[in-house]
Amino acid sequence: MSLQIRRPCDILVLSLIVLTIVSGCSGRRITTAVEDQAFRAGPSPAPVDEAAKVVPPIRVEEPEVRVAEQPVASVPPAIPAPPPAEPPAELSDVYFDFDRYAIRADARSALKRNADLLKTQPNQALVIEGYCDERGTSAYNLVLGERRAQAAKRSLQDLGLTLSQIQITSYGKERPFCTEHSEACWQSNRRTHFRQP
Amino acid sequence: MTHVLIRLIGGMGLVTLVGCAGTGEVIPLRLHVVPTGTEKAVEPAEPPKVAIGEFEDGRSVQTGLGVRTHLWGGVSYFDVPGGKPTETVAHLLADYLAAKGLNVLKQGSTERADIVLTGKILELFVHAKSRVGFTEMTTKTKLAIHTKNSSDESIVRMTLNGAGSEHVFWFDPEDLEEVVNEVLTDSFGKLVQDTTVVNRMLRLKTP
Repeated sequence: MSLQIRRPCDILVLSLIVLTIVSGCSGRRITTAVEDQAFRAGPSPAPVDEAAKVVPPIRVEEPEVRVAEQPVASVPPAIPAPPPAEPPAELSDVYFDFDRYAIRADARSALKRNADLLKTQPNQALVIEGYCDERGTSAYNLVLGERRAQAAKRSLQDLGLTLSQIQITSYGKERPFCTEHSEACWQSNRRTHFRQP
Repeated sequence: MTHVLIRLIGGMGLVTLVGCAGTGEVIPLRLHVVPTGTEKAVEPAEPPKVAIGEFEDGRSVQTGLGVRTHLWGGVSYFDVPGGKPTETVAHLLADYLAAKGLNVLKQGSTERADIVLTGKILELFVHAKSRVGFTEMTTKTKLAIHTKNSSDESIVRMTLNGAGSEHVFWFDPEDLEEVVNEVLTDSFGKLVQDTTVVNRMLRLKTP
């Protein structure tokens, strides 16, 4: 039996069917991505601080774990905080060079002041937050921020501060102090911030 | 005679192309990870012990995985066997990490884990829409993974996004399973790619 196709409309119908079949067989597309990454160091970082062993971990709850999805929106507390009982003296930020976590010479005086102030409040907990500028990946900056915070912690230890209540955390480039794209702005973002919870 | 034959073939082809109406049945999707490559995430000598904790279901719609809409109307539903995607995803992650060389503890194990992984399914859906001549399958996943290192209590968090799509001429649930499997496998691969194990602790990899 031979199949003869003579009429143009028959050819058209068959062509459409073939075309439909062919067009329906496109390839598979798979895309995956990491939306955000975050790292929070534990209360006593493992690789350093031999003198500071046997430090009981302070409250290991999860308040500081940050997720880039809602980084800033949930920050402001609805209730105006009661007037802070802290003295007017404030802990100074410490700034870093680009892509570095070594404590600069000009930061030592600030760290000394911070240490002196903290020694007067031995029972007060301290959180050291590491920040970076916007250059580099989120993952890289999270690690860099953690190292900056660790460096600041070590310096405070060298200045005679007990580390039992110091917690470090890294925000990487996720919470910039300044959002402009200039060197001055980036410098202000490359810092560790000291906070008393 | 020839014309009749052509029309008959055309008619049968049309029926074949558009498929049948949906009956509301539930189509189980048997998911499994398919790790590619033989490289291991850790040295085989001393892999860290990993425990997979609970996964939460954070999806806005927590029933099933999705639907197939048929050209002639009606729908079928997709779900995992057992109807608990959280358990399925946790198992898949465990399988993947085990395939990558980590020592994944069995559920209920009393051994102390070096790394504890928990997570939340933010999105996990599949969809198949039949059109004339093909069925379009899509899937989207979003998993928030939370890792806690026991030794220093540090935490690594990561959100894994995945999406996949494919057009098939003849819909078969196995094709959809393959798409979802590939997306989940790729997503778990990102978790392994972007982290490293240091002293039995999971760390973000520095580029």
